[in-house]
Amino acid sequence: MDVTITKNDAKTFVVLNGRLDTTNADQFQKDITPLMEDPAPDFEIDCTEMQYTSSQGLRIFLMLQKSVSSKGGKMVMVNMKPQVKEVFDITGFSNIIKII
Amino acid sequence: MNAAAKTSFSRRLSSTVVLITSILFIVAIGVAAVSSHLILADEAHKSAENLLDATIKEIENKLIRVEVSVKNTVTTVQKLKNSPEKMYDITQGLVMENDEILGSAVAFVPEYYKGVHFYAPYSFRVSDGKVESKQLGTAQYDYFYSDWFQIPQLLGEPCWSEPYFDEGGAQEYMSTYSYPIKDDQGNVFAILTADISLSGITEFLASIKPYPSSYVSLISRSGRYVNSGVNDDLRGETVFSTQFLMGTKENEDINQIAADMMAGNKGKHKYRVGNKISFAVYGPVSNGWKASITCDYRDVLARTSKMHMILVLVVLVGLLILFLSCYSTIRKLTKPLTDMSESALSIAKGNFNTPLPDIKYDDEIRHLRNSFDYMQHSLTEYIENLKKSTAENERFESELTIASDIQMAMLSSDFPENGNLGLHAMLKPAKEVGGDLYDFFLMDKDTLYFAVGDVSGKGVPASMFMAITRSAFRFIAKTGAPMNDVVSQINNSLCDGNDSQLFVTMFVGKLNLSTGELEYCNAGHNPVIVNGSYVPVKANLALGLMPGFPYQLQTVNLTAGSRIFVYTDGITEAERSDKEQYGEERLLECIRGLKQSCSDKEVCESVVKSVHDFADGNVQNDDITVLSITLKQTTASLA
Repeated sequence: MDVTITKNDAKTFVVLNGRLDTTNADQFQKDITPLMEDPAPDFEIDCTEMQYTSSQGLRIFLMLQKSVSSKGGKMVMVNMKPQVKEVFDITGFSNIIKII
Repeated sequence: MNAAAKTSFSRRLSSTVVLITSILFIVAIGVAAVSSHLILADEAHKSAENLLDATIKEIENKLIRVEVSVKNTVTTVQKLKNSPEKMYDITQGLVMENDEILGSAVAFVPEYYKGVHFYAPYSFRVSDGKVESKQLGTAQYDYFYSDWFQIPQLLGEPCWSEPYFDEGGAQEYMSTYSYPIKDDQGNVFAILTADISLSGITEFLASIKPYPSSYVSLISRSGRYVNSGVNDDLRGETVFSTQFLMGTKENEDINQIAADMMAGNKGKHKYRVGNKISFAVYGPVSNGWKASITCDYRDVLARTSKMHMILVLVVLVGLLILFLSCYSTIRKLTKPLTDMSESALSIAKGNFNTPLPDIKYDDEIRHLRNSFDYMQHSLTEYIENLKKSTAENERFESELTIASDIQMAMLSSDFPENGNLGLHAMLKPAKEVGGDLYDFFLMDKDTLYFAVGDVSGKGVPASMFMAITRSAFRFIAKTGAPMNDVVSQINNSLCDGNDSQLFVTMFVGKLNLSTGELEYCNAGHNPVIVNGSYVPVKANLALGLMPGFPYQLQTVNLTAGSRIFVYTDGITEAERSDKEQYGEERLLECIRGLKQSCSDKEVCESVVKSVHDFADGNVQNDDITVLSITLKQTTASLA
């Protein structure tokens, strides 16, 4: 799972690439630490190239979402593949995380 | 390292040292030998030349004494030439006067005295010192044609004859000095002779021996041996006929020496016969004879050869001592290595406390020993740590096994099987302890509660969360509340203090066995399959995320013979090596392919086997849980 973070004015663009599974979930959590520490988060997460996410991956997105919500920030996930979107839908995460 | 290898190491090194030293010695001795040989040979040449000069001078002195006696007598003959009878007195006087002279004659030319054809008065020494005389010329002995007469007569000069054996007289080798006596007109009218024995000269020459096998040769004007110095029988032979007589091959060098001598030159020449190398110095004698001294180089170098033998012996003994001292020194030096190898062997056998030998000197071996010591300590420490961590691992693993046992025991395995109901479930954790769960219980004979859940994550934390969830389900469901309330209450209790952000997806259902009504609530879990098709489920939200989330209740009415299949995403997300997932389509296909008569156990086993076959050995990433329920008949259907 490759994570590319670029900051543009107040908005932060995050590009995810690859599979997020048990083997790399810990690394992914480390990779997005800067996002967790952002005092005024406004994230757009591009999921065009994200192939899969496991339940551990969901948990990390949830933690990120909670961190964003607690600071009154914004977070949106875009261009999600249908099979990935399905996981978010089944688990009800689409109710918590904004996916467009 | 064994004893043989060590021995050969010392031996090899000593041998190399000795070999190199030997080569150096051989070269040194060789150079010394060659240069000393050259010096000795040069000295030998010079001393031989000096000796030759002295010898020639000695021979010349002998000859001159005879020549002077003869010359002194010539005037007497000239004065008394008209008194023929006086000639006896003259010759007798000459013989008496000079010891060297064995005989003397005054031989007149034919008819010098009228009517006397031969006239040659001759006096000669007989035994006991007496001198006798006689007339030499007779019809049988026509001396006019003898060399001693003819040659000086023709040359008009005195000369020494070739050596000859005097058979009739003295019975020994002799040479004659002939002096032509001339009259006032310068015509030769008589020859005065003096015979000398060559034995005196040969004895003198035999006494000259600078080296044991050296010899002096004397050859006449025509190249015949006066004295060969080797063999008296060769007397009178030439150098060339000697080679023929002796059967030796013609030797270029000897021929050259002979030619050079015959030319009357003084010189020195080296030659080889067989493996014997000799040199000859030669020079002319005043009377036309030539003398040479021949020396064998072996004699010349005998002294140094002996010296060299002693030197070689000393060197050999020295080398032996060198070898032995090298050998013992190297053995002593390598002893610590041997000791260390023994210690190493002992350590290798597991005796980590084996002491290493002390090394006296601060050298490479001590460094090796110190490195070894370090290694020994590191090894001991490492093994100690390994033992500890292995023990810890073992303890942890045994605890995990216990945890796994507890978790499995928590799962009901008492599957109800009666005329109305069939039920079976299977759970295969990916690790020892998993995060999946299933549960079911009959509230009363007509009411079945069941649940299947999946905690995010795996391992011990997930399994603990799973245990909490399962207990909450049991506890809360038994209150008889509607399923959405049950789920909401579980959610609230899980949210409370969920700092680790774990969550659980769950499907809970309540099946009325008499009516066939299924009341269910889904909390972010995979949809369920009823009679080979997915039933519509609301996603709601996984549990533990948001307290107070409004979970919605759903119901569906089932007919007798209906089969409910609940699973976790370990089934649909099982992967092959090419990352292709098992998926819902394959699952539906598998279930639809099963006969209606299959037991629930067979359904579970078939699905698990299908997933297992699909994965084809690929590692199971997630826990797998399946639950199959068959509503065999309803009270309503009976009625």
